[in-house]
Formats: sequence, structure tokens, C-alpha cells
Amino acid sequence: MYNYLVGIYGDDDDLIQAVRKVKDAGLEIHDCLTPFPIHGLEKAMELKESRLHTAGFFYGATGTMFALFCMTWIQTYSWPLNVGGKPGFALLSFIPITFELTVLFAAVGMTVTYYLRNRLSIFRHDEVLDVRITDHKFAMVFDLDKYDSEEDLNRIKRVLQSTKVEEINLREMQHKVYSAEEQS
Amino acid sequence: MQLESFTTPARVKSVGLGLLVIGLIMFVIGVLTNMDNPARIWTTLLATNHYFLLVGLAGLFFVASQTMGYNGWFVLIKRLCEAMAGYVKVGAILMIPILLFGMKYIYHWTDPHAAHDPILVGKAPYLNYGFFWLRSIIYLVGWSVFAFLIVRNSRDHDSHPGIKHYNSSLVLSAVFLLFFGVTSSTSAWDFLMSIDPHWYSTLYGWYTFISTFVASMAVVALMIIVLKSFGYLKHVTEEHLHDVGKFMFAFSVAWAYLWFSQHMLIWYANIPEETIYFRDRWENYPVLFFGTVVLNFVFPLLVLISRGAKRRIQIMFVACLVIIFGHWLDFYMMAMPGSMKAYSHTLGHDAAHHFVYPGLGLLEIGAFLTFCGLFTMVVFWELSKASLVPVNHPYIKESIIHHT
Repeated sequence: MYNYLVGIYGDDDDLIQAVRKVKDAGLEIHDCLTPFPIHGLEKAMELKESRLHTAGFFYGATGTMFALFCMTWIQTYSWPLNVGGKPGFALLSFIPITFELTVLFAAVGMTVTYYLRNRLSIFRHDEVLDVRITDHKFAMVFDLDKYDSEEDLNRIKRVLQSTKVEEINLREMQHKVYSAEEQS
Repeated sequence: MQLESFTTPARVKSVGLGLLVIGLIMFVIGVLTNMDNPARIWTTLLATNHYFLLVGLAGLFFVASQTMGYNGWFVLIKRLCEAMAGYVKVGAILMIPILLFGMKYIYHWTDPHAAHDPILVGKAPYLNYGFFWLRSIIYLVGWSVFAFLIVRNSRDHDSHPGIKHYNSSLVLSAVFLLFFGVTSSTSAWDFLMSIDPHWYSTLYGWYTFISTFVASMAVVALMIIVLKSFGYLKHVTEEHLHDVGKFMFAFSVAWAYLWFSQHMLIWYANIPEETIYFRDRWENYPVLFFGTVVLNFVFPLLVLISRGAKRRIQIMFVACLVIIFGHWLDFYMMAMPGSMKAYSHTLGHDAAHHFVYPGLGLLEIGAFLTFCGLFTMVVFWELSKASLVPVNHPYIKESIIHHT
């Protein structure tokens, strides 16, 4: 069993301001859950930049090298074809395919990495912390396994009540809810 | 918001003047040692002047296109682009003597022998003195007038609060974009593509335009860096630099796309009258021709790809200098090989056979530095004429709180 405290907000602006207040109070936010991406939220939460695009660069570079190697090997060694009298190693005509494979490798690689990092899969059907966050409410989540004393709980509640929070709920989950850091 | 007046720092002035003087000395030495090859001198002047004219014009295009896009983020750097547009009239005036005296050396179709060339006879209704001059005057005057009107309207706005000037900027921008859409292509055919009059390419106009657009974005980024280092532009942050960097990166890729499309299709189709253009460059200028791809595509691609690089002043500074030089080299590569080939044929059969194609010498580098210095001085002089912040622009707040 995993325990979480969920503060519900009715407006994205209220959420960002609350995040700043909570950060100033020195509390650790587990994650923020919103129905749509919010500009500036990642800055307010002080999240580290995702490394997904760095991985994407290397997937792309792999695609580039794979395409160039493959076509060069086929056209000069394995099965040279005479295409309109062009030379076997025709770099100019390799470029479009190299480009396509770069994009393909980068796109597929990044998608797979993203799914793995976020522990997403079509076979997973986890319960949601609060079903309204998929529609019109904004949630700030605290991990109560980190803040397990009564004193901590009261402190979080006190800080949240100084913001424009609408509800404060305690949730007991069957599955672990991964934090923003664990998913980036 | 307060007006932010600007006086050109002495160091910028001396850098501009220094470039101009050093460039002029190199250029004059280059001219004196190349008196036997007037085609080289005039083609260098044409390519360099046209390049800087179009870089200034691309600044105007940027303002107009962002205005038409109802964009807010660029408002804080709008005055920098308008200052670049102030160079257009200088470039246009310099273009006239270059065409007047250099035309017969640069353009092979002006030669009396062209009357015996069936391809050139077929193109004569378009490529003839009268019509060429008419078009040139329309471009140069039209661009200068639009630059004047758009910049004046924007500067007037500072002392007249309200929406009237903003609305007229929309109208002016729309009309200018229409005019520019046609003339940016046709001017590229006239000034550069007609140096190789037998050859044509349908994407040449965009190719030329994108080349100067990348360079003009590099100039804007450079100006942001310089002005910030002197304590101006307090509200311009790394977010704005990042967005300009994105333009530089994206249009470097667009440039490479057009360079490649033009090159590969012609190589693949292998039609002699088309491949001759690339054969002249592969054989006579192999290092410079492929060097432009390294400078203008491979370098920006690898250096500017990450988010952090576009927000780092040092990296952006180096990338800007490389891009400005690289695209000038691209213009040089568009103009010089064709003109040198035509020139070598005027020397007689034997001499043409042994003709050594000139590379980058004092002449070319000198011309580039001269125009760099002139451009810097004119742009900073224009910049000091108005407030750095367009205080009454309706989107000014959006630009201040901008965050990518």
C-alpha cells in the first residue's frame, strides 16, 4: 500500500502559485497532475531538463550510420546494381534514405524510451489518483511515505491551506505512483 | 515601459571603422594586383553588396512576417531588425554603380556575341539591358521605399500612443510581403542566376532568400549579444536569444534542404545543360563549394542542436560569425564560378585551357570585411535614431514575459 496526499486546484494559475509557495516552504512535491501541459510549471517545480532528446540524438545518429553503411555495403560489395550508369557509391542518392532512417530511428527510439521511462504500456490499467485530473482539475501530490509523521502531515496541510487549494484528500493506492523525477 | 535611448558605444564604432579600413586596404591591394581580371573585381563587389543588401532586407522581412503573424515575442528585438532594414537604402545605392560599370564584366549575356547564341537569343526578351535595368530599379527603389515606410511608421508609434500605427504596420507589412515574395525570387534570377545564363533552377530564389535569412538571424543574435554586453536591452533574456537561435538552426537546415534538392536532382537527371553548373563548381572550386555545406549546415546542425547551446552567449557568438561568413561564401560561390568561366573564354582557346581559377584572396576577403564594417556602422547609426524599446507596441508585455 502506498499513501499520497492530493491537493486539488481549480485553475492552472493557482497551481503554479501554490507550487512556488510549497517550494519556498521547503517541501518536496512528488508530482503535479494536470489535464493539459502548463507553460512554466516545470520551471516552478524546478524539474531537471529531460534527457530524452539527448537519447534521440544518438538514436538518430545510429540511424544515419546504419543507412550509410547498409547502402554502401550493398551497392559496392554485396549486390552492386547498375542504376542509370551511376557509380556504386553514389552518396548524393543515399542522402534521402539516410534522412528517412535517421528520422525513423530517432522517432521509434524516443517513443520506446519514453514508454519505458514512464512505465506506460497498453497492458497497464492503474487506478488514477483523482479521476477529475483528466478533465478539469489540477492536482499537487505529496508522497506520504516520505512525510510519514503526523507533524509533517499537518505542516503540508497548513502550507496548502495558505494557497487557493479546493480540497485536500488522502489516498491509499495499490500501485506506486512514480514521481516527476522518476519519469523524466 | 520607458523609452530606452541608445548611443553607439565607442568600441562598436571603432570595430566597425577598423573592419572598414582594414577591409578597404586589403581590397585596394587586391584590386591593384588583379587589374588584368576586371570580372573578378566586379563579381566580388556584386556578390558581397547583394549579400549585405539582402541581409538587411531579410531583417525587414522578419519584422513584416512576424507582424503579419500577430507575434508578440519579437517586439523587444524589433528595433534591431528595423535598424538592419536601414541598410537597404545604402546597399541599393551601392548596387547602381556596380551594375552600371561592372555589368559588362559580370554578365556574359551582355556580350555582343550573345546574339549568335541560340539559347541566349531565346532568353533575350527577358535578359536585355532595358528590361534588366527597369527591374533592377523597381527592386532597389521598392525595397528602399518599403524599408523607409515601415521603419518610419514604427518609430512614429513611440510618440503616439494608440492602435493606429499598429494597424498601419499590418497593412504595410502585408503589401511589402506581397512585393517581396515576387521580387526576392526575380532579383535572385537577375543579379545572380543570370551570371550563368544558360542554366536555370526553379528554387534558386528561395535558396538565395533562405541563405540571407539565416545570416540576418545571425546578425540579430550578434546584435543582442553585443547590446546586452554594453548593458542595453534589459528585458531581452536568453529566451529571446533561444528563439532567434531556433530560427538560425531551422533555416540552416532549410538551406541545406534546398542546396541538396537542387544538387541531387540535377546530378541524378544528368542533363548536360543543367549539370554544367555543378561541374564548374566541383572541378574548379571543390574545397570552397563543399566548404559552404560544412559551414552552413554541418556546423550549425551539430553546434546549435541542443537547447543549452542556443542559450549560451559564447556558443551563439561563434555560431553567428561562422554563419555570416559561410553564407557570404555561398553567395560568392553562386556568382564567381560562372563569371570566371565566361572570362576565361575571352582569353582565347589556349589561355582558357590553362586558366587558374582564383580562390579567396585579399580582394574577396577585403571586400567582405569592408562591407562588414560598413554594415556595422550603418546599422548601429540607424539603431541610435530611435528608442530600443517600441514602448507603445500593443504586444510589448507579451514579449517581456516571453518564455519558450
